[in-house]
Amino acid sequence: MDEISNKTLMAFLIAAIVISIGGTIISLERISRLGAPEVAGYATTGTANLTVLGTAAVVVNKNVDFGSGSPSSDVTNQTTLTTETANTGGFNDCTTGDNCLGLELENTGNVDVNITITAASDSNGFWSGTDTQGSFQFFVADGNRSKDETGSCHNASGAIVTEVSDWTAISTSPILMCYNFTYPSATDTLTVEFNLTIPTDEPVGYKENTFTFGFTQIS
Amino acid sequence: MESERARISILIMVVLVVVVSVLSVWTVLERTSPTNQYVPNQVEVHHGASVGSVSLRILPPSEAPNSNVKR
Repeated sequence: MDEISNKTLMAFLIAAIVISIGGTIISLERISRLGAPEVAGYATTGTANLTVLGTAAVVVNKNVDFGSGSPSSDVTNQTTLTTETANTGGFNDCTTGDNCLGLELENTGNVDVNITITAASDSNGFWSGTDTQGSFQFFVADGNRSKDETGSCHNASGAIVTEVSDWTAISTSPILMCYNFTYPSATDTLTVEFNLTIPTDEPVGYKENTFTFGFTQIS
Repeated sequence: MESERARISILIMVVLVVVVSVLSVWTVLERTSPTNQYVPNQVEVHHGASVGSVSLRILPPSEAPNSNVKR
């Protein structure tokens, strides 16, 4: 093995010293950029930046189940089922309990939205009986099923009112329920009330209509 | 001979110092690189849909519980 000269050793040594000092400077500079306190015990200041992103979300808290019953066969006195009403024919009493006080929606996001309702079947598609006319109507009440959290729906002018405040026939096309369905937890619920008139010759069986509630963030 | 061994030892130590220094700098640069800092998924949701239902069961007149239907 050839001898290693003092010059070679010196060159390596100088390189090591330069790299060490350079590395130390770079490390200190990067660490100071992170805002790390240099001496424990001293007060220091820093900033934390964050951006809260908008999320539009609406959930159905409760569906409507009118239960089981037998409709009237009297064409002059058809059975009508209404949420929040003591219904006849053996169907659920909707003044008590939790089965049919209304279909409750809650804005669980952090942005205001407008919301529409679309039925899977309209009245003609839902009822099979033909002897008498059936109907399937709804309206939108501000607040939850317990009548709390009112002020959840505003129109385009800012007034507290839903877009469907009278009985209206359901449709397979979207119907605007509320222009501005707000998100603050004290005012973030709507209740859809239903009114059904059953044809006198409606066949025996289970019947269910599904509703899609489409929502879009208000820009 | 002893002098040569001493020089080789020093050379090895110097090389180790260089390697450790380079690795240290590389570690600091890698850990503080913006590309390695935590960036949450930035996804905004502007629209959606939920589904609810209305249901009932039609029974024959004879099976209606507590029925008060006119027949």
